[in-house]
Amino acid sequence: MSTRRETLRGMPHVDVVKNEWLAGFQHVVARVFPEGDEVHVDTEDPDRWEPIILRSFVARDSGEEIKPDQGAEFVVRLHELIRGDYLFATELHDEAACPFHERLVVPIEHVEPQHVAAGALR
Amino acid sequence: MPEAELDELERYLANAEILDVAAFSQTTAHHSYRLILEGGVAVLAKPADTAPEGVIMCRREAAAWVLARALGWPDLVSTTVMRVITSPSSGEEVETSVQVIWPDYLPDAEVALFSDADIWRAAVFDAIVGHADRGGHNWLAVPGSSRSPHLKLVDHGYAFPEATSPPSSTFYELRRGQELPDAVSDSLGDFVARRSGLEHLHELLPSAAADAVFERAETLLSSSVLEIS
Repeated sequence: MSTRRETLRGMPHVDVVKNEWLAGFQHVVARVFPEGDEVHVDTEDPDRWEPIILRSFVARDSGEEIKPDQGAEFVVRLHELIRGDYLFATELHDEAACPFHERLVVPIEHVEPQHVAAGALR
Repeated sequence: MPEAELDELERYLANAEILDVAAFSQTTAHHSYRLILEGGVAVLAKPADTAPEGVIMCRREAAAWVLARALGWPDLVSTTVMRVITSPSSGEEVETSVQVIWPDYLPDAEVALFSDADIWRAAVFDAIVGHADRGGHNWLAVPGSSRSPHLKLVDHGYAFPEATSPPSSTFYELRRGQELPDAVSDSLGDFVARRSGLEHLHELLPSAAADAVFERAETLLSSSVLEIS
């Protein structure tokens, strides 16, 4: 018999990502799946992350309260609600398009400033 | 902390040489970068050209720090300054907010973890800044592993409106309609009486937005009740 996690694997989901700026990596702390009228949070630490994710949020643009009991709509809009520098949610996506498909922990990358294209043409 | 030390920290953030710029591959709409400054301090940088309305959003980040400091609550918001850096995305010289990164944090932790004093200060702070985006998120518990962490407020890009209306804030809603505690009233009274930070807020914000901060503070102080309508 398959476990619930195995059943959910491959389904469209939202990644909730914590940025560890000082340590230099970002990691998926939870994956959120729409299940009909319900929301399922897959996380290694449910005591910590479920209360943070499964709460009512207020949409900034409309002032509308978005609640976990709204099921799929809650999951679809989670990226509008959790979008901080330290914690954010991705948009709902298929497993094939998952930016964290290969690994749940991604290191920060050194950035070289881009040179202005117009200047380079002269 | 003595004001001179905070002044010194602000000068350091504004002038220290940048040794490294780094970013995460996955981000929110407003791209942030980690800068490592000479001496080894890591800071979060938000260049103005990485978001729509980026200039005012960055300045609001710095204004939140100015206000926290002016209220005598410099522990509530990360020290933040404006400086010009070479934008990692465009290569142009752009205004950028630069703020100290909190260590060991739990984002959006349950509010029951925080002290009544911290919740009150956050509620009043959000009322004064008119925060439009603290409904359920945009705060940290520091240290994240502590059973009695301190509350830190983050992300102020959607604060400081010119109009007066109730903020969208979890902390404000928790204390809305209640009488202000003495400690909060005292901080508010000093802030209003001294017009602390007024000049600096006017440098960062449109005049109407800076004036609205003091109008909201005076409203709270005169009624002694947490209610913005």
